[in-house]
Amino acid sequence: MQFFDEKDNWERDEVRVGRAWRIPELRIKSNDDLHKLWFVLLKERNMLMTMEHEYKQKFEPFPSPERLDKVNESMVNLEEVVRERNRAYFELETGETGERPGRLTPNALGMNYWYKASEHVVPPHANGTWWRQKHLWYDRKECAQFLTYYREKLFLAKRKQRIRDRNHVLGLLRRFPDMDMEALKEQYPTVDIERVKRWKKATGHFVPK
Amino acid sequence: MSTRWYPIYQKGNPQLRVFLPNFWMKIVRPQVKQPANMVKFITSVQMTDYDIKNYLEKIYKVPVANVRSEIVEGELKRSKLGYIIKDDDYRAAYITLKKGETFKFPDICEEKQKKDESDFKKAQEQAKVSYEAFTSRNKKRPGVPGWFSF
Repeated sequence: MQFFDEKDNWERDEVRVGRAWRIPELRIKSNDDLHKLWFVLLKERNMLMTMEHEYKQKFEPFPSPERLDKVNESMVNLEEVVRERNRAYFELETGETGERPGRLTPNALGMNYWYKASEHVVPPHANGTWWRQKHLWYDRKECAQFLTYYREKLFLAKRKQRIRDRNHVLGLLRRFPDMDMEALKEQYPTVDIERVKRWKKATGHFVPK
Repeated sequence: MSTRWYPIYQKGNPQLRVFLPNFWMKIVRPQVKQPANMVKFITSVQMTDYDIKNYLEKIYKVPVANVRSEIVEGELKRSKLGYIIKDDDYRAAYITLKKGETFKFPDICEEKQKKDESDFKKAQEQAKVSYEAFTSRNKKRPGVPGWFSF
């Protein structure tokens, strides 16, 4: 069975391995190579999971657990590359991306979420069960009230952050009057520095030049 | 295909092909003693018995005679703060190998444990020797603490 690591690695505290596959490296590979590499990675992941489970059962440290992360990262990158090619092919042939279709729809609380469409055997107009489960009866008034409160919460958080940033900039200006204003503007874009500079809090206890 | 979104299967359509399967499987040591041709696996919950059989036969070239699997509910635990934690569910699969094939779970940690034990013993002996060397300096003056002499 290929589910186990090489015997030399069993009693090691550390197994030295390379890094994960990167996207640009995978882009120059053929489809065939990617398909083969996927199965290599899949087997490697299974092997690592088996070993990790066994070490855990025996209360022993699993040597180099970062191997699993590397394999996972490689698999994510590989899938991204395959998806990229799929998208390019579909756009060329059909004018669509070929991705799973979806749309923004409000849920029972009136908040929008990304609905992932899927194929159904029965069309929606003929599916009574689905209509009954769809909960179209929810109270729009309560939803509106909830959304008002929710947006208020978001707004307050934003305003607090803005004020905190402004006060921080005031303190910085007081302590370091000759600092780089461009960098400050870039870091705190919400603060109007030209306006804030003239405030009493922004000037230190010294005679201005 | 790579979006992992497959069209719905209608009778008469060609079978769905999985080009990049993301199923995982791991061999685990069975809690109860099993016959020599029986292997226990933990797999992703979405796998069916046919998937498991095909996976082992096509990718690992393991001759499979029978597959039996069940979904095991993850353990429920209560944390110190009082909220409840649930482990992920998993599928436990018991595979019977074909006639003449046997499998024995290798002792992976045993050698490591032996090595660690011998290392520990070595360090212990080293400590013993150095302690004796340390105490032997004041052998002629009993009752004097070890740090007294230089």
